[in-house]
Amino acid sequence: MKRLWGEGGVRLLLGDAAVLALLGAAVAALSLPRGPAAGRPAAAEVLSAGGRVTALDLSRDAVIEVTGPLGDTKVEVRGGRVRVLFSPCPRQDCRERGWIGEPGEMIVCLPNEVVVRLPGTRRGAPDAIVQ
Amino acid sequence: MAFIALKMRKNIFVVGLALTIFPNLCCSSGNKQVFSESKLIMGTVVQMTVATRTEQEARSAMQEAFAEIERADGLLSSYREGSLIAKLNREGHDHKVPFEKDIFDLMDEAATMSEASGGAFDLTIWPVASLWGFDKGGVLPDKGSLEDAVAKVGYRNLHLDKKNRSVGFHRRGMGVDLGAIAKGWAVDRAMARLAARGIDHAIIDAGGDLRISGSRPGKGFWRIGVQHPREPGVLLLTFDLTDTAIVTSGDYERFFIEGGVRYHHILDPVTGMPATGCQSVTVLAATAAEADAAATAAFVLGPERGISFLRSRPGVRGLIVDADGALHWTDGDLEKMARR
Repeated sequence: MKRLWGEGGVRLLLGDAAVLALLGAAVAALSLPRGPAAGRPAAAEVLSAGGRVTALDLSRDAVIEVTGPLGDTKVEVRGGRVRVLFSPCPRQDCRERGWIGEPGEMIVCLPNEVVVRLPGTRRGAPDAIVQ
Repeated sequence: MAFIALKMRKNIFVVGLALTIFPNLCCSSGNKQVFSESKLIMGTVVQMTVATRTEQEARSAMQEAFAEIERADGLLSSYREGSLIAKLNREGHDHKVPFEKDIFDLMDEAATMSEASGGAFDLTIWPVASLWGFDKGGVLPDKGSLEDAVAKVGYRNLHLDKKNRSVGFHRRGMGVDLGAIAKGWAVDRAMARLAARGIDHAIIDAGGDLRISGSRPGKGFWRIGVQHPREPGVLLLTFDLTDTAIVTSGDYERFFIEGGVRYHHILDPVTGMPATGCQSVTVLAATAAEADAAATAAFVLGPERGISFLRSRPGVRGLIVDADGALHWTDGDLEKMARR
């Protein structure tokens, strides 16, 4: 068996190195974030008045209408991203937010009670923001 | 020599087997995963993040915790006609209104904070708050109406009957607005629900009112960003925190601009006008209710008096961004904790 390293009492052989490499890979895999927080979002969640939650498939381009207290908000999906296309709210902050596509990003329209949210956490982003 | 090499391989094999079968031994946080949910409640986005072993465990606990916040919203909103507080505001001068124990305790805490802050936080600010109407976008009230409304504000004219657990007003036209403490209180209640389900790693965020328990699996803390008050989407700083509450009150949350002047929702109970000394106040405390109310009080008091007020409260720490953007800290240790 080929000796890779070591003199005297302890020697590391090729087989040991392979096992160590596998162990390292296993530890690394266990350390990775798992579950819904990992990866790019496949769907957006649209929260609307009355606690309703609509899942929006980001792989299909579409425009949906979400009804709120002020009227209908139009939410558009295109190329894996999502935006508010039209809103009846007075300040239009939600529409001006533009496209979002990264995990954890969110568009909030409190006047018309519509929230578009991409699940997960962006790498390096804080777990929550006080604002 | 061959024996030693064989022994080492055997050891590696045993360790590898142990790690495969008992992954928890390798990662102190075990194999918990992070799940989150959001809902629109209390006029804001409430986000919950919990670390559990199974999705079912997470969803079921979050459902219970959301129900607690929905209950708080139904009881405490001054804007909901059917709420307990709306009933108090309608009938509180004619007769005392009975309260459930937990809501009465909240009223008592809010009254105590009103006293401690010298009225900078005043739970009877409803006549002024309703005039500004920030829930519907906001409108600049005329001077006469504002003066009338300010005259009706005063926590000392609130009657908390501890014996009968009921609340009333000494003056007609008074009203209670718990907007500066209710979200924090609801977050505390919801976190207690999660804890009762055995969940000890979680964040509950109700539009800037955060309660944190434990830490993110594998990290030892939750990283919390503080919004920059003048640059949307930019963080002023971050803290790595465990087991605390953190709340920010800022003049950028709800405001309107009229005649080139920015009018925001944090109102000075003495003048009835938006407080002018700060851009934002961030407070850390044991409970979100205290952090919420203390942040509003400090905002109204302004940077110097606000910092003194925060320092006077045991276990409370914070920072204030003043009207010019300068930072004021309650203590150097907190400043050292901040990552910029």
